[in-house]
Order: sequence, then C-alpha cells, then structure tokens
Amino acid sequence: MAKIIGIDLGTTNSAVAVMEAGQPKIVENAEGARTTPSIVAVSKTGDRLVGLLAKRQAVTNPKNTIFGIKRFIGHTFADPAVQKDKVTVPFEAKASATGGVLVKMSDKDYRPEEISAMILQKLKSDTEAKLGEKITEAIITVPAYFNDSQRQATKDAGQIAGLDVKRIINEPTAAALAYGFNKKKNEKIAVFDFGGGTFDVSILEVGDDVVEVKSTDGDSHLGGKDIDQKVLNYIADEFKKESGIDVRKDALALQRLDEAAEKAKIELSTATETEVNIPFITSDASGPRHLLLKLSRAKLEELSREFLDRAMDITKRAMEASPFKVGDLQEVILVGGQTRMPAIVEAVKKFFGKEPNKSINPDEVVALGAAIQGGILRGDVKDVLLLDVIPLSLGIETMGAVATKLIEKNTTIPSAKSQVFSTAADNQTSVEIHIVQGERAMAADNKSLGRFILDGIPPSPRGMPQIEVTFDVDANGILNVKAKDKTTGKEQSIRIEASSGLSKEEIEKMQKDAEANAAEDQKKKELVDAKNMAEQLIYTAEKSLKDNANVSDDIKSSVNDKIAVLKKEKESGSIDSIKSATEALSTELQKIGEYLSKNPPASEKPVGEPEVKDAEVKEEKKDENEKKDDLEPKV
Amino acid sequence: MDEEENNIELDKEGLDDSVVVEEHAGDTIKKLKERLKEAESKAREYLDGWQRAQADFANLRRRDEEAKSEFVKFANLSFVQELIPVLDSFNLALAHASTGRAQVADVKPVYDQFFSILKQNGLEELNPMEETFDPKYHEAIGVVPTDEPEKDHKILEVIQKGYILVGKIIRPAKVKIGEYHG
Repeated sequence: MAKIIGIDLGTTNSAVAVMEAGQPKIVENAEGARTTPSIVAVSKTGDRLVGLLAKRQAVTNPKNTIFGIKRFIGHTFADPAVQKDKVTVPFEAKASATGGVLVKMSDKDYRPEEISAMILQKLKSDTEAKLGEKITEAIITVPAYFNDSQRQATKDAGQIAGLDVKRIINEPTAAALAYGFNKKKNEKIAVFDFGGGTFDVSILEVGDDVVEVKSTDGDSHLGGKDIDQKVLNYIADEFKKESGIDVRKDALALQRLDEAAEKAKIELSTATETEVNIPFITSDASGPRHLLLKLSRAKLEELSREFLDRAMDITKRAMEASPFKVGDLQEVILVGGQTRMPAIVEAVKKFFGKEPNKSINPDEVVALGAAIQGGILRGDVKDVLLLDVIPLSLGIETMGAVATKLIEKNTTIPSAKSQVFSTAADNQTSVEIHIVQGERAMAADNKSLGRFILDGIPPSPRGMPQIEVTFDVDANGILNVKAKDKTTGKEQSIRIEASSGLSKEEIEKMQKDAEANAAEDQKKKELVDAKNMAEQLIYTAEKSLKDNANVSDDIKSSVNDKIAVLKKEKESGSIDSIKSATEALSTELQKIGEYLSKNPPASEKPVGEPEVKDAEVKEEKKDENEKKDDLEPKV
Repeated sequence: MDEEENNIELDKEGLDDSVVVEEHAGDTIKKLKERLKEAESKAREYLDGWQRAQADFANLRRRDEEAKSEFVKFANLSFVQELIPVLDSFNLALAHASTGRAQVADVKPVYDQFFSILKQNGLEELNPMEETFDPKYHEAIGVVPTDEPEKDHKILEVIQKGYILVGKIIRPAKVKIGEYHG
C-alpha cells in the first residue's frame, strides 16, 4: 500500500514527512533541503520555478514571483486582510468573477489554490523521486483559525496537484501528535508557534484520540524575519555612526549584512555574545572599511522585545479566550524556528509557569505530526507499537561505588542487555547486585531501585567467576534484573515495577543534577578508576611475589616498598599521585620478570602469566568490583 | 493433545453445531478454553517479539545517528587540520604587515594556498560572467539596464562568486543581470 505523506504547507516554508518503520521522517527536496520556500515564479524564459529556485530570482522578477499565497487562499477579495496584504505584495492581486482572489503571474491569472498546488506538486514529485515510489495520498496541515472555505481551498489545491487529501488537520494538532500527546487522557495543551513570518498560539484539549482546539489567536505578519530585519538595521546604523556610510544602499553589502544578521541571531541562541565580522564591507576615500561589531544576547533581546511582547499579549488573549486557566495546562509545545531563542523560551515558561517541550525540531514538528496522522489512517501506527523510551539510565553499582550503566537513557523499550562482571576479592562467594537509576557517575548520587545477593559462587581467585547480569525492561517499563553465575548456573533475580514511577519533575531534576555535576562526577570517576587500577596492580604484585619466592631479596624489598607507597596513595592521594605510584610499581614489577628470565626457576613456571591473565580478565569483563574493604565485596 | 484436537475437528465436521453443543458441551468448552489460552499466550509472545524488534530498530537507528554525527566531527577534524597551514601563512603575513614590509601582492599566495586546499576537497568556483541567468546556479540581487538586446537576461556583474562542492551547489553566485530597455 502506498504511503500517505504529511505536508506542512507553510506561509514562508513547507516541509514533507513520511512514516518509515513506525517513525515519522522528513523527506529532503531535490535541492537536498529539509524545507522548501513556499514561492512560485515564472521566469523570463517562461520556466515555472518553485521553492529555492523561485526565491533566487525573486529580486529581479518581482511581478512574476508569488510568495505568501497562504494569506490569500480561501478568502474573498473583499476581505479586509486581503485588501491590506494586496498593497504590500509586489505581484498583482485582483478580484475574480465570483469575488475570489486572483494573482497574476506572467500575464496569466491564477487562483491561490492553483499556486498552492504548484508548491504541492513539487513537494509530491521530489518526495516520489526520493522515496522511489508513487505518492497519491496526503495529509495537509492548516492553521487552527482557517475557516471552512480556506480548508476547502487547501484541499482543492491538493487535488489539483494530483493528491488525494485524506484529511486537513490543524497545525497545533499535528504538533501535539508529533509529541504523542494524542494518547494522553484529558490533557490540556498550549502550542506556541513562532515561525519565520507568522505567529500562532492555540489552546488544545486532548481526550480519547480527539484533539479539540479550544481557542486560537495570532498575527499573520509577525515572525523571525522581523527580528532579522531589526538586527540588520541596528548593525547598519551602528556602522553608519562610526563610518558615515549607509551600507544598506549597496546591494552586495546588504546581502552580506543580511546573512551576518541572521547568523548572529542564531549564534546568540547558544552563545551570550557574538562578533559580526564583515571584512571589506565597503570603501571610502580613506580606503577599504571593515565591519566589526560585538553583539550580545542582551542587545538582541532588547531589539526583539517589541515582537516578543506582541507575541505574549496575543498568547494572553488566546488563554483568556479558552475555557481554561493557565494552571490547567499540562503541556506547552514550541513550534517554529524562532522558538530556539532563549528569550522566547523564557517568556513562554514565565507565562505558562512550566518548561515548554522543545525536543522535536520546531521547523519540522508539524510535518512530522501530519505524517503520523497519515500513519494512523493507514494503520501504520498501532497502539501496541507506540513504544516508550526510558528517561534515565539503568545500571548497577560496581567496584569503587561507581554506577555502571547497562541500559542508557533514551533507549526505546522493550529492551534487554547483559554484561559479564566478576568478583573483586579472592574466594568471594557472593555478590550484591545494587540496581540504580540516573546519570550520575557515583552510585550513591543516583536513585536506588533495589538490591539482591547472588551467593553460592565457588571459591576462586578474584576476577575468575563470570557473573552475567541481565537487564530487561518490558514494554510497560517494568525492569527485570537477573544475575547468573556462569559456572554453576545458579541465578537470582528481582522485578522492579517502580522504574517508570518517577514524575516528570523528578526526571527533569535528575537530568539537570547530572548536567550540573558532570565535571565533578567525571573527576570522581577518574579517581575511582585510578584507585581500581592501583588495587588491581597491588594484587598482581603481591601475587607475583608469592608465586616467585626465588627472586632476589633486593627486588622483593623494592617491590614491597612501592606496594606500600601505592597503598598509602590509594587511600589518601590525588589522581596524579596514585597514577605515578601505580606506574612506579608497574616499572618495578618488570624487574621480577627480568630477573626470572636471567635466572629461570627449576620448575619452569611461566612467570609473566598471572599478570597477563589478570589483565585479560579485566578487559573482557569490563569491570571488577568491590566495596571499600574486601570483606564485604560486591558486584 | 494433538489427537484430541483432531477429534474436535472431526466432531465438528460430522455433526451439527447444536448436537455438538448438547452432547459434548462440557468437553468442547474446556478444549476451546485451552486453545484460547494457548492462542493468547502465543499472541503475547508475538507481540513482545514484534515490540522488541521495533524497539531494537529504534535503538539501532539512534545509535546510527550518533555514530554519524561522530563521523562528521571526525571528518571536519581532518579538513581543519589541512587548513592550519593557511593560518600559519596569515600569521606570517600579518607579522610582515605590521612592519610595513608586506605588499598587497603578498596576500595572493595565501589565497592560492587556501583555495587549492578547498579545491582538493572538492570545491569548485562559479564565476558565471556573461552567462545566461539560471536560478539553479545563480541568485539575482539586482538588474543592470542595458540597451543591447543580446545582453538581456545575461549576467553582467558577478557580485559574489558561487561554490559547488562535489556536484552540490553550496552557494549560488550572486549576480546582477541585464535588463533590456529597447
């Protein structure tokens, strides 16, 4: 059965997604981009151009280049919005015989749905080329405020493009679908969509697979482009103050400035300061001039303040128009590239009093949601296959009280993993399996989920027994942990139901803690690793001395000295001092081998072997374990 | 068990439903219940296997993405290494410039060094002077009025060169095109 594609038919950009193996995926266009400008043109040579190519010739062919057609679709020409927009666009818009809108492109009149159809046609054929199969069915998204005639016109556009439009869905609904919120019961959600050229905010109620738009508001002429323009003007003004030259009058300088302004804006989403550097931007009597300007995030926020304030006023209005209070909302979703700006995230967080969802690419989330709707209609997305991911890593405590992860966070479940561990002391007959959850390096900093003991391990040298620990998280998030002694086949297990019982806040807190303590944890872990290595070497050294009693006394005493130093450092030293003492002992130990190769013992016992063997065991088993004293060893 | 199941099949074929129900009701229900139980446990087993395959796939894909971004980082590294000599040249040029001993012409070899490294990495330059405007390779940023009809829609000024990386246009050339006023 052919795929149903999801199309986000945007005012400035459009995107296509498709379900692949149960997951929505953006399909790149012929130019290799993940979004396509919603622009159509007829060039001077009579070619029809859509997307990026239409954009590239727009400046020199403004009358025959149609953009923002979404603002006209399904409207009558007399609509105030159309009357307002038609004077600002460079192409001609007029009334049709039936009172609808017509736009002129290369001496021919087109209905807005015909223009939209050209965009859809390109999206369709690019997708067919990419996927290598014919596409006939689609889901198309529209803003929540679209009325019946706008929706019908959008559907007609699909039909003209040769697509059977299975459903027209609201953009905020698609976003909620992409986040999987349709599965929740009686949730109230806000969708905050700050795109390139338009701003929309919607309040939704979700229940039993039905998503209902309770209120919606927006501004069809407010977007990221406004901020870019403001930044550009600021930079140009600053440069003019300094040089007396207005670079906006020079086409190339303006182009370079435009790129630099957008780049600076994007950089300031992650950095707090950036440098706008445009060498040779212009020249005057004194020679070439370079533009060099520091721009801080604070300055950018000051410049965008008016747009943010407008967006938040609209948000307030939408909230008031809904039957809910701010506190009733369970989720807030961010859509549109501009929502990457920290100040916007902050403003949204402040208004709604909760951290907004922004884990899915905000430029792609609507198309992804539309693809999911297509998958649902086609029967691709079955309830039983909506799989969860575990939010926090699961592991066990190992030697030196370190948390060793078995299943990493964000792993899709059900999932199982096993790893072989060993004992930390000679003749250790039992191991304690302590299960922990979280991202911190030390077991004690994570959440303890449970523990059990596997005993009856036959006495043997440390590192010899093979204890296989298996973690299995089922589709419901229930964790089964099993430890098995591979020699005796003896096993012990525990079932933990609460592994998914953490609230969203708790999970977030644990994730944040891990981030905040990452550097410190790394140091702790390095110290433990150094101590473990020291411990291992001391063991090897003592064993070598015991096994090779015939080495000379001065070697014995010097090795013993180094062992004593390392033992002391191991208890109280720094990472560096432990490492250097470990190295010193290791060098000293080689003397035993040297001595023995010159003075072979009568028994011909291969001397190096215990060392080598131990090292092997350690590698293979990844970890050797103990608690602080060897009396109470554990895995 | 198998034999019994066969018997049920035979019974069903040979007798009317109502008779089966009347005469073997107890037995039949018991056997059907057993079969239902068996089918349910099979269904659970299959569902679990299906979910696990699906989850394995999702995890594999995630790891693949991670590996890919790691790879990209690595690919950048070797490229950046190649570019470091250009920085050396710039440092030397700047040192000379500060003493007033570097000429404008001294910048040229640095540019050549830089461009040859990019070229070795698959970069091609687009300098489409006099060519017919094609939005596939060019971006128009203005027009130049002309009274020569053959210059209409031709590129008369290349404002910024364009670049192609192994066949993919990574930046179109920014150009001004002729507009014939006859």
